[in-house]
Amino acid sequence: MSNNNLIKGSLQTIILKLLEENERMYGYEITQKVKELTAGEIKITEGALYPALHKLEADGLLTTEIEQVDNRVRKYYSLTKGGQKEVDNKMAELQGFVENLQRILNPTWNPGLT
Amino acid sequence: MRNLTAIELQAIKCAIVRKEISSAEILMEVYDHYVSHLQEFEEDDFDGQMAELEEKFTYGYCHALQANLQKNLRKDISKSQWLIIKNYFCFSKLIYSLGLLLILFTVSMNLRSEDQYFLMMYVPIILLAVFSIFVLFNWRKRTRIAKSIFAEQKDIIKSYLSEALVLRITLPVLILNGLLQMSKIFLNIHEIPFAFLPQISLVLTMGLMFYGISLFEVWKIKSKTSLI
Repeated sequence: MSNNNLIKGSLQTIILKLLEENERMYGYEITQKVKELTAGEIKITEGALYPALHKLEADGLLTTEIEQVDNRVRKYYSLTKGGQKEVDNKMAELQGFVENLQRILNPTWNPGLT
Repeated sequence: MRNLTAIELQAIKCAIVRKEISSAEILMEVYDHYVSHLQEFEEDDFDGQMAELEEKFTYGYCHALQANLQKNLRKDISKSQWLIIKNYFCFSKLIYSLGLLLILFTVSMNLRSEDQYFLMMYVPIILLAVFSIFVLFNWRKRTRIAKSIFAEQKDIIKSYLSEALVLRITLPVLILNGLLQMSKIFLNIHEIPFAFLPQISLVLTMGLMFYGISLFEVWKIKSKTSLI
């Protein structure tokens, strides 16, 4: 089953979290990192990645820097101060959602016991 | 990771040129993605991987990215400029703003002729014009790499951020001109009464000064991080 629909809602959180841990990354690097961390189970499509990155940049959560690599220009993304604060909010929001989802899917599940 | 051959690089460029991307920002990001991805695969896999990329980066997708970038940039410049202007009235910078206001007030109170008042109003407009020429010059310089890689479409490549900024610089002049024309057409006012000139020239000069300085600060911030 394609998990693209499941990832869509949490893509911004994934990007923010990765940038919190890796300081600065470029678009292709983000797709590869997600693939590596999930052993290929989750693949971020370029179709969703770049609009999400540009949206986060426009919202002031990401800043960019340009670097010349070989004979081309590479755009690196990193968190702004606002973005650093937003990571915690987004993570708490996602964790809350996952816990609620667990309760729905498995009513006997108790987070305190795991 | 391997280095791509000249033929492979040419194939990438041809594929991207077909998308008719005009934004240097998007063009360079897409090109970097293609090269970074294809470098990870052996020569035998090049065609297959290239076809996969072409399925993802379609003409429509690239143009949607451009349109979104254009929309976001306008919002981003407005937001940044507004934040900077608000900052001028914070405690730390208030003294400079009041100083500037005092200087302009003193100048406007000491002018005697109509020509002198108009000259006062023209100073910030001239500064805005110089600033826009400076941005345009930088735009050409900063998009040089993109133009050298994609020589076939160099005439359409532009920095969307610079374009948005230049539009923003010319905006007050367009609005002023519009207001003057409208007052002539609808209110039949062909010249500003001399009694109002000190106040009008002070407000306009001050407004344009703040506008120009704040936009210059936006440019300073953006020039560190983008293609302008």
